Amino acid sequence: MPYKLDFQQIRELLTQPEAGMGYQIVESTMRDYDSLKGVVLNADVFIPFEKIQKIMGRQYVSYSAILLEAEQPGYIRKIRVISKEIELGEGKYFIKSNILPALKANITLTCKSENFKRFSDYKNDRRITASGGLLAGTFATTEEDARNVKTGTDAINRYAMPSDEPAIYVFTVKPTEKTEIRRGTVEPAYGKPGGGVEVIFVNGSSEKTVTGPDTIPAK
Amino acid sequence: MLKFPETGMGYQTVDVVLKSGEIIKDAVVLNAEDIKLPDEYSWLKLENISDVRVKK
Repeated sequence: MPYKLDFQQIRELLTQPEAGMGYQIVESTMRDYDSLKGVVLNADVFIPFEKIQKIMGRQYVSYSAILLEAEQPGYIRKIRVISKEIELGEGKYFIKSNILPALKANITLTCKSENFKRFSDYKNDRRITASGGLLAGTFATTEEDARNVKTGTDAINRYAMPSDEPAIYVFTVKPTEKTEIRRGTVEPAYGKPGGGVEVIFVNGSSEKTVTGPDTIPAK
Repeated sequence: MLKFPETGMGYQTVDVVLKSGEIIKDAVVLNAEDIKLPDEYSWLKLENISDVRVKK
């Protein structure tokens, strides 16, 4: 049986990234405190894992038909987006997103004049060397994605940073052409939605490629 | 800590091995200098730690 979400739950899910087009993978605490994993379609209706094949595997299935048979809101106490890596019939019933966290992405090379930003709540960010480079395995984001961040609080939410301190210091990274990076999407973590672009500098960046920090407002 | 890659922007996750043999899993280290531990370990001092293992 599918379950409709209430208004507050829908609003909460809309702040979090999808696992693929039109769906999110979630864990729900039900009215009887049972914990169920499954998918939410359109931030609107929850289908537990064990019901996916029965509901989605029918010959003729439409979203409106699923809504019609769904239980009304009130059956779900709590719902949260979880890792995208749980196998829930993606490829068969759902089109899985090809967006991966950077740690699982292939290595690519930076282009000429491509810039990056690193947000930190430390002015003395230790991943930046005395000679103005990045240490191997340091994270940053693209300059384009960083335009979505206006405050230090935006940064810790978009990049799912574990600190509760706003990341108000912004370093600019201008790597040399063909620097090795892995590029991906931040997964939800530490109660924060993620969803931003993350880039790992696999071998760091060369000297004099990092400037800053500039400072942005905390809130 | 700085020899190891980050887990995400500005942090690394680690397992903290105590001298008692207990292991605190998935603790977060910020800027290679500050560690966030669950409240029940607020008593912990540096001398109680035997190893910090960065998770890859």
